[in-house]
Amino acid sequence: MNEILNRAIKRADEEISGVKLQNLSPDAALFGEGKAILDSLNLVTFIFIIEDEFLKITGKKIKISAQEIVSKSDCPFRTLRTLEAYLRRKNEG
Amino acid sequence: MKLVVMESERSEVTSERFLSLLQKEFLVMMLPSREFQDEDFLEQLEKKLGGFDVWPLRLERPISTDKKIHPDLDKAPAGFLVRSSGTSGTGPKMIVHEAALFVRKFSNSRPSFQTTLNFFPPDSIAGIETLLESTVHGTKIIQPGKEILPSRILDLLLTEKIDYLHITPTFMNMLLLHGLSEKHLESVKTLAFGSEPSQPRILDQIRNLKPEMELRHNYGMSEIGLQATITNPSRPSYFKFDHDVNPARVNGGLLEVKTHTPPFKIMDTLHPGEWFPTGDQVELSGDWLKITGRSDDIINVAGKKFFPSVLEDLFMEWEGIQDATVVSEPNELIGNSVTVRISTSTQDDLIRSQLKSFMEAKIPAYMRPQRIEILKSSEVSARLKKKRR
Repeated sequence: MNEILNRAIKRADEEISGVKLQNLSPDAALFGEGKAILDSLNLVTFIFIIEDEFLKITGKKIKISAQEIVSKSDCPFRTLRTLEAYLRRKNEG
Repeated sequence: MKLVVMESERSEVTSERFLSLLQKEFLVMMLPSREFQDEDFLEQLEKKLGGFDVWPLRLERPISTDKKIHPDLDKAPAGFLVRSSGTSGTGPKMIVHEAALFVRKFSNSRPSFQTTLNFFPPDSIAGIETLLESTVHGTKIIQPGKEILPSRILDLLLTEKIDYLHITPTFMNMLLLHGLSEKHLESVKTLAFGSEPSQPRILDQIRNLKPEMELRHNYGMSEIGLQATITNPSRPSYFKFDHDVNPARVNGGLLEVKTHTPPFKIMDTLHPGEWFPTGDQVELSGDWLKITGRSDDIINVAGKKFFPSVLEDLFMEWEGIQDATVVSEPNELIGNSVTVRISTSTQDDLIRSQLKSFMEAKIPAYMRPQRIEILKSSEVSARLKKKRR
C-alpha cells in the first residue's frame, strides 16, 4: 500500500462512522457491490480524505470525478488494490 | 435621473448630508469607501442601473455638526438605494425605496431607543432605518468606528448608556466568546437580533446574563425594511408578525408579508405583488414562526433535504464548539456535499475523534458532513453574518 492510501485509510477509520478499512483484505469489495464497505455518502467523505492526503504528500491537487467512479468496469474504488493502482497512476501522470 | 452616491464609512460626515439630500428631494445611495473610490465600479454601477446619472458626492470635511436637522421628509419625493447583501440568493440586488414611507412608519410608532449603537453600516437597510428613526424621534446614535470589533463594542457598552442593541446572532456569539457579562448589559433594556437564523443555545446564554432584558426577534430585509414583530417570551428564536401592522402568511413553507414600506423598484426584477415573497423558509409552532433558512440555501443530500441552520443548531449543542457554519457544494454523486467549519479552542486531533462520537449520537447519517474544517476563529461576512459562500 502506498503512503497516501495508508494515511487515508487511518483517517477514514477515525472519522467515518461504522467504517473499518485498516485490516480489510486488498481484494474485498470497497464500493459498488452488494456487501461493499462504503455507501455513497461515506465514499464522498473518503474521496475528500484521499484528495487531501494526496495534496499533503505529493503537493499535487487531484479531483476524483464522479464519471471515473460510476464507470462499472474501471471504478477505482472497487477494492483497495484497484484504488492503490489508481493512485499510483495519478501520481505518475 | 440623478443618483447621488456617498461614502458610508465617513459616517460623521454622511449621516447629516444624507438626510439633507433627502430633504432636497434627491435619490441617494451610500457605498463603502472601497467602492466609492473605485471609478470603474461607479461606471459599472451607472451601466447596471441604466437611466441614472451617478454623481459621486466627495466631501472634503464634515459639515457643521451643530446644525440641527428637522426633516419634513414625509412630503418629499426623495428616496434611497440599498443593495441586498448577497449572502444568500443569487447575489446583490439594487432596491429603490421611498424615504417618506419610512419616515411615516417611525412617526406612527414609539421610539425603540434613547441611545443605540449603529452596528449596521449606513449603506444597509438596517443602518438607514436606525438613522431615520433617530432623526424622527431625536434620539442618539453611537458610531462604533470604521471596523466593528467585539472588543470595541464591549468597551462602548461599558462607557455609553446604550439601551437598545441590535446585532446579528453571529455577532452575539462573538461577544459571548470575548467575555460579554452582565456588567456590559447594565444599561441595555432590549437586545434585538435578526438578519439570519438564531441559535437557541446562544439566546439562552444571553438570557442567563440578564433575565429581565427583553430579547427581541427582529425581521427585515433590504427589500421591505424592518417589520413589526412580537417575540415569544419563553422561546425567543420564535416570533410572529404584528398583524395590525404587517400581515404575514406562510405559503408552501415560505413566508410572505404585507408591508407599509414596500420597495419602489427592484432593479432587474419584476415588482412583487401585494404579498412580498421573502424567500425565507419557516417552521411553525402554533402561530409562532421560526426562521430556518433561505429557500435557496436548502441542502439536498441523496434526496434528503435540510437547512444549514438546522445542522448548525445540532453542532452547537456540543459544548466543545464555539461556533459552527455549514456550507454545501454541488456533488455529482450525492447531490450536495456538506462541509462544517468549526471554531474551537480544543486541539485539532482531539476534537476530530470527539466529533465522530458526537455525530454518531446526535446527527442523522444523511446530515453528517463529508468535510470538517477546524478554525481558530469564526468566519463572518461583511454584514457580520455567517459566511456561507
